[in-house]
Amino acid sequence: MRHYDWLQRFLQMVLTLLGITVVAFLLREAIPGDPVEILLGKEGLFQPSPEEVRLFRTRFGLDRPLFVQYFRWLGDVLRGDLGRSFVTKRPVAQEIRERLPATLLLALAGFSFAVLIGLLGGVFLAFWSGSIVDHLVRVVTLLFRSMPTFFVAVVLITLLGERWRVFPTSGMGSWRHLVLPAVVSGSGFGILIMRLLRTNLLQVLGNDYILAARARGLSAWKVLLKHAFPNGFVSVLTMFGLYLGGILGGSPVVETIFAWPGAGRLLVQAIYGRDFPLLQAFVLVFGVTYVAMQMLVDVCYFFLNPQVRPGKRIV
Amino acid sequence: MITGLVLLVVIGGASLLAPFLSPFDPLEVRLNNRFAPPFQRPHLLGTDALGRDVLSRLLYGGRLSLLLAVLSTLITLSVGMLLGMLAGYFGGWVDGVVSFVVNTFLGIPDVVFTLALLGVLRPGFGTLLLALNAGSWVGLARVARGEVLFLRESGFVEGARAMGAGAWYCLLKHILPNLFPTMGVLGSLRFGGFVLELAALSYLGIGVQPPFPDWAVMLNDARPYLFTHPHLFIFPALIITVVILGANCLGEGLRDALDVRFQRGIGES
Amino acid sequence: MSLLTVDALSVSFRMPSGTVKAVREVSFAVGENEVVGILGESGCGKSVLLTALVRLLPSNALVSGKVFLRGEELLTLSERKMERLRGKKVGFVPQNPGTSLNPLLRIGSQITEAISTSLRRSHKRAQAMVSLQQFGFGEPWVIFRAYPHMLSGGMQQRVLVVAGIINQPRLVMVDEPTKGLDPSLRARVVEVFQEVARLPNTALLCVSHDYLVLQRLAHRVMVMYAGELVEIGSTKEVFHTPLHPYTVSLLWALPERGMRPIPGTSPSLSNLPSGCSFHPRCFQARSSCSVDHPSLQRISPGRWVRCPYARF
Repeated sequence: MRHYDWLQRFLQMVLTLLGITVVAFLLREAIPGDPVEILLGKEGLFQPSPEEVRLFRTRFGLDRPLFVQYFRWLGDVLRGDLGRSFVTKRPVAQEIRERLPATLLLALAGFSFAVLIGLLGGVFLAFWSGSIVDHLVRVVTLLFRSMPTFFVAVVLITLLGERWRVFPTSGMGSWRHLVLPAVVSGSGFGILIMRLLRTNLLQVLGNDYILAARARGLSAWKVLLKHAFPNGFVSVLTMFGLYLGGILGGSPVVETIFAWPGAGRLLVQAIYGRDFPLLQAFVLVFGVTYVAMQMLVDVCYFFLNPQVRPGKRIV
Repeated sequence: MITGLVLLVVIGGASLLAPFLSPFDPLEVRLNNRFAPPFQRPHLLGTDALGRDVLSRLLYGGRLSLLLAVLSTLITLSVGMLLGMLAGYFGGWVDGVVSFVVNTFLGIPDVVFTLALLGVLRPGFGTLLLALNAGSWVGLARVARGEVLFLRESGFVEGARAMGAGAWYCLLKHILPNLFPTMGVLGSLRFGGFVLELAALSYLGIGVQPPFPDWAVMLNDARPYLFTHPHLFIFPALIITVVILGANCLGEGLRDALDVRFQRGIGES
Repeated sequence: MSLLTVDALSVSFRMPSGTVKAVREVSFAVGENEVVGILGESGCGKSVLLTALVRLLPSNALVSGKVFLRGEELLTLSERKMERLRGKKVGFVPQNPGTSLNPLLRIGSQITEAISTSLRRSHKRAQAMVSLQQFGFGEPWVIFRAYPHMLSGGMQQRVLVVAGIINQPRLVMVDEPTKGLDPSLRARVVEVFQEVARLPNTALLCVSHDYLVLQRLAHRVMVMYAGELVEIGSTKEVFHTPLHPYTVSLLWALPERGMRPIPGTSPSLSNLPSGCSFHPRCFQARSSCSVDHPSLQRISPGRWVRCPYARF
């Protein structure tokens, strides 16, 4: 029964989301030291007296059992209150909200780039499989994948940014500012997509229906694009959720290097400043976004694969 | 692939033997000898902004990172395999709990979790270790669980149980050895991943801290002098790349070797 | 001039374990409107033969010999010209209907893509529907929009037939029509291909291990063993008065004739027996059979045997 599957999937997602909230909440327990003193402001300019600490504790319900605190916190979160940043004293939700679009934009751009070179590359590699080009590309990509992101970034920045002045290297402004960060962000996964697609295409090309299609007179290219590609692409699609998450995860580094005003960069700054509410919110936000994206991919997959859809048997 | 193994062994060995091999003290500052160019004696790879010998720093540079990476890999593998085996073999509520935790952590991009932990805990070796591992055991656990599920139904496990073998015996003697190949592949690749992550963190300044002669820290230090003295940047970058390359080669070589072994049984159609 | 002339066609495969000779010096002809069957067990090379004729062998294949389609030499044709023949002048119905249709594409799409004329989409669709109806599909529009997994095996095969003959090719190659299908469907399968054979100006080259199908379908039959043709004749001749020991043994193995299995196993194509390829399993092998490799001998017009001791 299809509906039962869907329900199960949905429940699982809800459960996972809940789990993420628990993890984010429990992060607080990992902080060394008394949480109250920390939450009151650790700058040290203001040394709370034991009396004030006690008052604070009762007022904010910090003396209640843990799961009561959890539900209070969850309630706050669902209402949109994610606390205040230690550093800027502004509401965390606002801070993140201001930066998140930039991150999403970069993630999308990086992802598009990855998909572009991945798909094109994969098709070309499958077509020329076994040739010198294929082997060469394989070696080059292996090398490329072994280079740390920031190395690639620095190389690109120096060459394209400063030496030849083709693209700007920091900040956000015109579309040109987007190019370098997107390339750096997406290249890793682009290569993965390329290889996965190539492998899948080659595997698909060994199938009977490929021979049948060729025997019907279709040219090699047409068969590759119309018959092989959709089948090979499907398994690449299932990995898309993973890639999107990876690109999101790479945003802190990329954004910092390119001074891109996104949420990832904020995260890194939060670490420097030990800004706990911000960190906690990040775990939450990134987690939820990732799960949502995976669900989206699942839905897409469902629509693209006719065998999963209900369809009557024709006798 | 053997290339990978050789590369890793060479670099690992060099790092281990650094105290014997390096010509200078990596931390020794000599302000009168800054920016010496490479390929000249006595500093074969030149000196950096503070006059420290680059070669020595390179030799020492890997020690902490590699140690962290190796430890992390071992921990991740152990935890992942253990939980995966428990979940896969015993099923029921054990599986439920473990799977729930796994799914939860899979929902958080591990980099984010690592960063969060780094921001929360006090900086130090232990923190780094914990942060790196916190998210990564999950993927391995899931794969391990899948494999265990598959193995559990296979002939020899059933046979052992029919002969009265207990659960732990089955797990240790039958299932565990069969997990090693896949885990070996994943472990090698993960090792490369750890080196990469650690390097990125150190580069940003939140991993290994200066003045420790870590490769990524060297990269960070070399940033302002990229044009004037490129060798300060290139050498550490190359070394890191080579290490990761080695790990990747090893992992992929293992994977290819395993694939062939499984495919030989299919024969010609 | 016959429609198809095959002259000393040989196909070998370069494998890591050595060279495998799948087809050895096969020569025959197919006339216009004729139905020719090739009978042989699995692994004897018959499917490779068919695939070689349409030049769709894998890249490690080595082909030699000549193939003429109405005078035009096929093996040296450029790939583009070959594409113009496939599906149009030469039709192909592949084996294993279950896996020969792309599961992600609708049936209709897989039929119309074969139509070679540059018609509008609606015309192509209409043409496909007509063909589908001709081959027993009462509601062709349902089939047109359906996906392969919704159809039964027999229906899938009929769809493949439609796609194969839609351009009214002169020659239709059929690969193992009963393989992958329920044996109870054999009669239906024969009907379908008899229908194909009845199409005007259509010759059939049908390859099968199933003797019953060929008996009902083919005018002439060629028996293949270990990559070679060992007996050729009209269907009646070959099945009523088989000459080659292999053919005789094959028929003895049938349930209705005693079900006596042929001793031994099929030879490995990379390690063929010396002399006559069949001699290790032959009930009338002489000492010379392991030494001399016999050639195809003409007994009477159209009747050939590859055995010097064939019974008369």
